[in-house]
Amino acid sequence: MIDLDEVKTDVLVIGAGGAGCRAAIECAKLKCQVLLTSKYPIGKSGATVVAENFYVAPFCNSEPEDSGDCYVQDMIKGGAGLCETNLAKRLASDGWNRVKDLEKFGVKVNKDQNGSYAQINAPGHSYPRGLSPKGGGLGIMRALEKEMKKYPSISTLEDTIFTKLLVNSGVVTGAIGLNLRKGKPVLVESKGVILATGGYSSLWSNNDVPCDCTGDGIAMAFDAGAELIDLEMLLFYPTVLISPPCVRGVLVPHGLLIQQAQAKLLNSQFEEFVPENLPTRDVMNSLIYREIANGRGSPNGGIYLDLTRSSRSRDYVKNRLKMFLPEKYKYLLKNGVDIVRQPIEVAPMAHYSLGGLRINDNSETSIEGLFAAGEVEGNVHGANRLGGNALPETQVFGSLAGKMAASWAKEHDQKGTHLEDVEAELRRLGGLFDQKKGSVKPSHLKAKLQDIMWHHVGPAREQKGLEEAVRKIGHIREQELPQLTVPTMRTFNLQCVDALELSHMVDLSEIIVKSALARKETRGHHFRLDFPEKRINALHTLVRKEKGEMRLWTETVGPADQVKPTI
Amino acid sequence: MDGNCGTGRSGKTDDMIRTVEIRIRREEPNSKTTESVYTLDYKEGVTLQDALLYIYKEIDPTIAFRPFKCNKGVCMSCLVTVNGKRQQACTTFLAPNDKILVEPDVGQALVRDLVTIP
Repeated sequence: MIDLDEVKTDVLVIGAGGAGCRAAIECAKLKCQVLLTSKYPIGKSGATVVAENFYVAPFCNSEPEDSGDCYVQDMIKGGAGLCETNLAKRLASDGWNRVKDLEKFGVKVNKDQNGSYAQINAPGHSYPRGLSPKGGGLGIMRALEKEMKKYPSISTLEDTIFTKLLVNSGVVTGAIGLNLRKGKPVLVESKGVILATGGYSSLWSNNDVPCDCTGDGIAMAFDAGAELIDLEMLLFYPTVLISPPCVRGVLVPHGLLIQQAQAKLLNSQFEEFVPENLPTRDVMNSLIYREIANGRGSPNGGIYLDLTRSSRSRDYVKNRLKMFLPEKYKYLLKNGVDIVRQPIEVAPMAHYSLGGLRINDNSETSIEGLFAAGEVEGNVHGANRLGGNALPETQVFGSLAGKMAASWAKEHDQKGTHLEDVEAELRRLGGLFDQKKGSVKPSHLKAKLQDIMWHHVGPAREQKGLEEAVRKIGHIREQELPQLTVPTMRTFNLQCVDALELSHMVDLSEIIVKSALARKETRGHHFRLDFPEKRINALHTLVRKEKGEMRLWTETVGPADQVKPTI
Repeated sequence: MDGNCGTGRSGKTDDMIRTVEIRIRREEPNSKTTESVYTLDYKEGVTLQDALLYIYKEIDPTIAFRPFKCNKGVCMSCLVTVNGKRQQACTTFLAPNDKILVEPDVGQALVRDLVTIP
């Protein structure tokens, strides 16, 4: 048996992006002991730090006609019928309250000359609703980190990847992870667990997300028996840089550049092909696909985003970039790419996980004591997410999950952990360091899986390719995973991280491909070349592990109920 | 762990191939400091972060560094010391025939190699 650290706490929060940090604050406010954990250092990992400064909050002070109801209707329409009304209502009812919290934590939100909140529009929103928090996602993270310091009841555990959720008779009892700094497993026993581990966009080789978005929480929850929903739904962002290599994977917000600086989206013939009234991202992708499929793509397989043909002067464009995209504009310049002076090649890449854990409007999952917040949940946006809805999701559901987990922890005793589960996971983790037998590097196998996902389960899908993916992923699981080799040193062993992430990624890939095969229609970001029409009834794809096997079924979208605002 | 671009030693003997030499200080608390030297083919536009990822994936899987990249140059996860100067690996560009020494960020507790506790 290998050496082990043991920790006991009221609530364990796994993942410390915007949702996890917000959840920890809420738990601490309610006098709960919290352990907040993160795969890499807090504020230097996760997807929130890379988010643009675009935060949608519907409220009535600048657009008197706008309302929460209108916002919910926009989300339902934008989500192609798969968005759960009650969860959209939750975002509508709490979004503005959470902005006020962020301001209290020290986030500065841009205001116009009259002192009211400056709001900008995005495709799919009926009114301008987008606020610009200064510093974007990173600005929010820094404020949350500062706020957390006020609560001694929040402890943190960084550089730790979690690999196993512990469940006893349907109730969560904690989790096991690997502390990378020590190279030592850690067992956390807690009354409640909040998963805030983000999405799984790293499963695709072409993506614009950080390397740590490997869906760890979703894979662990599946293994523990939780219900997952619509995993085939992955948001491909339409305009991500494909060239030059040093900036490949950098997202360039086309809507913002078109609206604020009159940028043009062009095919290889330098023709515009996008309607003036910009469509939502799923529709944009199908328009881009049509251009490329018809031989009108750019040399590297994309289209052009061109600011040199803007009707505005170069100085005007530059000023808008400095105002709305300051860090990224500077970063691209440092990398030798001046988007004001040269057209850039962009293409759709994996950006945001629409699917994930099924939650209700209290952020509860199907396992008692297990809550989910942020991108890890799967039924908030449906088949497409409207721009600017990711950051409020972290705050609204982070706060809610924190509140619910804290009251759960108060009302329940710690349930005992099954020792055999702990021993089995410790054997698996310990065994990783002894894998000298194989010849396959985890990082190589990961890249192979990412290529399979991109080529067969990418922005345009069909039966044949999806079946090919099932076969290839099966080969990885059966033939190559047992052949992994990991260096034997314990401290900060990155191949070990790759191996653990890979096991999560293989599990999720299988679920995603089987869910994609089951959805024989085109809806939102699930674009099937062989089933181009949308079915009349909107159905969720659900999966759960039963007796070691994956069970897949469909359900209609839930009814709309009263959702009271959370103060 | 993920990454797209890299540079590599192709094994060609053409003496026109320009290279980059990266020396990395290898250290773990309470153990002897060593140095590893990696010679890579130069490729235009390659950053030190790309090069570290390439070394890790293709040459030496035991190297420890922070792989996270925010694509904006703002998160400071990849801070290291390059030729004695504190720099972000993601915006440190390599030039042909560069010979650089990479050490961990100064003033922080060391975990291993280039990884410190920020």
